[in-house]
Amino acid sequence: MLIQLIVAGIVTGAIYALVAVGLVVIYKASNVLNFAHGYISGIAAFVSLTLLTEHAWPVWGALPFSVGMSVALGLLTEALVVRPLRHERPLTVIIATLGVALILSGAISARWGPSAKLYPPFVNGSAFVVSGLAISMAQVVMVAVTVVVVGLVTAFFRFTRTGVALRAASENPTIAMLLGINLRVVSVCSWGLGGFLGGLSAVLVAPQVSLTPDAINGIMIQSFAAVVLAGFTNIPGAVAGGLITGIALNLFAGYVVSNMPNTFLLVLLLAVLMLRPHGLFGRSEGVRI
Amino acid sequence: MNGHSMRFAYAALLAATLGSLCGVTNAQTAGKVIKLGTFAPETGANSGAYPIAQATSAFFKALNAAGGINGYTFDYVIMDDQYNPALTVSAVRKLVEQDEIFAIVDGVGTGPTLAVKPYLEAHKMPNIAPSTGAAAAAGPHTYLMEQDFTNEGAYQARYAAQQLTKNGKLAVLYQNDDVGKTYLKGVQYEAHQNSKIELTAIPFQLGTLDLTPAVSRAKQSGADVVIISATPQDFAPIIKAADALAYTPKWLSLNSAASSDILKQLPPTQTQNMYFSVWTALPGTPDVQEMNAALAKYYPSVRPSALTIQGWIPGTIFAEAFRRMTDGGKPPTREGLMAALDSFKGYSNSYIRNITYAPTPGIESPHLPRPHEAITKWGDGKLQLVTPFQEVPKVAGQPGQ
Repeated sequence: MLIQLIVAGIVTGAIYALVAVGLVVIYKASNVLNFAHGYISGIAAFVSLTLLTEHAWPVWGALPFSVGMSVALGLLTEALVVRPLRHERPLTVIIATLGVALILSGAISARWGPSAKLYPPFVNGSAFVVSGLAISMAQVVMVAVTVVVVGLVTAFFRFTRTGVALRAASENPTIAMLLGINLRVVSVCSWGLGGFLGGLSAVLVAPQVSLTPDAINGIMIQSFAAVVLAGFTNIPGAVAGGLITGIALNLFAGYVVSNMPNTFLLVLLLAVLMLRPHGLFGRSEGVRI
Repeated sequence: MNGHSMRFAYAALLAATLGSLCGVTNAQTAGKVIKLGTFAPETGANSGAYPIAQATSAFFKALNAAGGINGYTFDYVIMDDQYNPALTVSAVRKLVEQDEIFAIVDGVGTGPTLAVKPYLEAHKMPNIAPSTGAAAAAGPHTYLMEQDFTNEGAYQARYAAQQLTKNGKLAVLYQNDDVGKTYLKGVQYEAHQNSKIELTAIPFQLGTLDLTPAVSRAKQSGADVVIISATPQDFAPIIKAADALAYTPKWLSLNSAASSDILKQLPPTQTQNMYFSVWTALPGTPDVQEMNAALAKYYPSVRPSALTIQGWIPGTIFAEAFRRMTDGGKPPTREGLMAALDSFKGYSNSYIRNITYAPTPGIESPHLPRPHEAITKWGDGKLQLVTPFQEVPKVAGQPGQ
């Protein structure tokens, strides 16, 4: 059972990681913890559900289109909410993202209704068993997509001019601007990328849950935990944080108590914040005297 | 505002408050429109249960379209409480004190119903057929319709022990709340009656993304029958988690989980071994045609299901009581409505069988009925009866009829 729980933890941890990386990308560029991320992501699951089940779109068409909707929503949020409030305190912008979350929650309920819906699986077939370890093709696909996407995002930040500009802007916006980096473009790119990662994670996890308007937003608490573990600004840390969260939750539920995963998670977060306020993988910014 | 107008305002407020507390008011019957209310999760984690309230609303819309009852029509107000008991209390206060409703019909959920019970009982407000099987929810003004969860759990465990298990090992996956724990009590009661049964009880938290740990524990226990106490939206993820673990026991659950739209999309390797206990008419049968037509007309996006049948039944119970009360031209009052409900002895219609609220010597809580139940099996794309509807034995010590 130990290996089985770890494998399942890696699969769900991969989803938490994708969501967490999206949150970190936005935080790095805008200094905003985006509370609308769950609903911006969730829209991709609902749009693709409609395209797949009501309009018989093929998966290769429905998924990119619906993830594109999340990207568009991310960009709209940046343009209509974050940008106009850029001179306000971060708390004001965070509250504004909460407002966006409420609007999107209402819109999803109005369009798709409150009933739980089942999302069709991308990969058919039950689990196969190898040496007593059961694993499904859907789980393999989920982890493989996460590995590829996180690899591409990491390469983007490390090797492309825009990626380097994003990193520079997050380190010191003033110097980045003096170096000719367009902060507007940086902000737009980060919100678009955040929407992409969120939308992708939503369509990957949708076949695993009963899709209600709040279902995708429901995984935000685990993803926020991954972000805290990452120290808010560290992308590889967010990936590790997501995986640690997924595995730790499964082991706790499997061997200790199966009915209090979120309580355990919050205690874990509290411990991390008390012992390492900058997270397990973040750097202490120190105090300027 | 000067002192005189302040006193006038207080007097008006006092009069309005007293009016709302003293039986039916003229305002409620003016124009012979009776205002009714309910609370339901239109949004939030349990919004999958919202079709229950939509079905009740469809019932009243259809009833009004057919001319109402004895000249009265009904205005049914649904308040969104997000399945959050704290919000339920404020929603119900608004219904009672501002909207001046005549009665609550079909409040959705155990937690919310228990949260508002003291308030509604204190205000002598009839609370008719809330969607809960928690015995503690029944009261002098609160009339349940569902089977008590403890009796339900025992009924399922008995069927599993006698008809389904081959190795005598049962597991129960139960949601970690009042519903799940009450249900577990019945399953454990039955397991203790049968020395050949080995029971593993596994709690889980509602809304958990990955239910692999809970299902893994059931698999490791060697159980060949798993009883599930879960909301409809947690039922499917449990089955999917089992499929990912290549675990294929026989499943036994409540009919509220048996949405045909959901079951048709689950892996056939799992659904071929699925059983459900039911206390309502079966979806897709001629018994529920009236509901299907009303939903198609008033809520076309809501698919008929076990949940909508569960929502339609409170309408039928209220309508029957209201009809008994107002036959002969008697004016509607809350006291009259409860007297009519208290006259129910084995009341049945095509949606539910055997509702009794009549006081009976030795029955501690008469507003907790025991509707007849049956066991069904999923096959050929629909639920099929494997036992006839029959009386459910009462667990020793449980209150109710």
